[in-house]
Amino acid sequence: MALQLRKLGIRRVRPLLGGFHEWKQLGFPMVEIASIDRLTAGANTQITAQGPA
Amino acid sequence: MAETLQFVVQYGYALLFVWVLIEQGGLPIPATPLLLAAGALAGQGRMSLPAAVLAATAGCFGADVFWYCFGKRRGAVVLNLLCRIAMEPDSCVRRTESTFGKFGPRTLLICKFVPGLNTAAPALAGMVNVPYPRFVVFDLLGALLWTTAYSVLGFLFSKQLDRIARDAHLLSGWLLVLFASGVVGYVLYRWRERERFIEQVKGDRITPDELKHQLESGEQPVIIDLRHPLDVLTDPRTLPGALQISPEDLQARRGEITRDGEIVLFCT
Repeated sequence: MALQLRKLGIRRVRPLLGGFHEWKQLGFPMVEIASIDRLTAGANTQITAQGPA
Repeated sequence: MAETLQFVVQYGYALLFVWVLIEQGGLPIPATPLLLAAGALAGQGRMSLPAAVLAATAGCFGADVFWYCFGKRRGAVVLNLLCRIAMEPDSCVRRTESTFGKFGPRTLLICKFVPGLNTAAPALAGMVNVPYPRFVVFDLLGALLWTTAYSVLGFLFSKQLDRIARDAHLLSGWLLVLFASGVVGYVLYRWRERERFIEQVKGDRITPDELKHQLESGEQPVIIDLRHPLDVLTDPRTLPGALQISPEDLQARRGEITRDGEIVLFCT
């Protein structure tokens, strides 16, 4: 993904070490995603949401 | 192939069941030659085709139920673990999620034919909470489709497979060396390419502590949440101020990303 952004001319790209999982494990601040319905509208799945892990 | 045929004759249906169970369990042992061999043996009247298909389907379904339950219990960790075994872990996770996002549980019908997706899809079905009866129906049909396709192929070409097996036996040493060299060469090439890119990106990574410090000190880098919507469903939270942009939308939404500041990316 970093490579893809660089191809778009965005050079100062820094991947987060450990990703979302690591951030969550460390107990760092997070916010609820307000537009969850819009976000998942594209995913044509017949699934139900699970609560936060 | 001759050894494979002999092996299948000797241990029969139990072998088919256990082999497919282990292969679908995640170990990189190819089950396709065994299914072809079982079909070829059925064509020669040395095995029953329906019984071979049922034994292989049962093994496949058993492993899938395990991954479904494991995925349901442990979530994204399981998918990452499974894809780590694959040649391209990053694209494996993304491809599995994208295919599942597009086709839903129907992915289970075709996943056995797609390397990387075959084992990961049942885990993802559990992870995104596909109801168990629905999983059973789609997974059983998918497993049946896969085992039948290869067994019937072996059945139809049983004479040809037998001839190939005899010819291959004469050249077996050279063929083995050639095949092994090709596989090793390909694996090394892909590994080297991947290592080179990882090295390039590794130096630029930001630690969670560093990012938290930046946020607390009032700096606001552009943060992009690249998680797939299916991952967001399992935990609908994100980092403060993060934009949700899927890799597929990156090109279209590049205008939202400033080119002056620092861009922090994160995924699952």
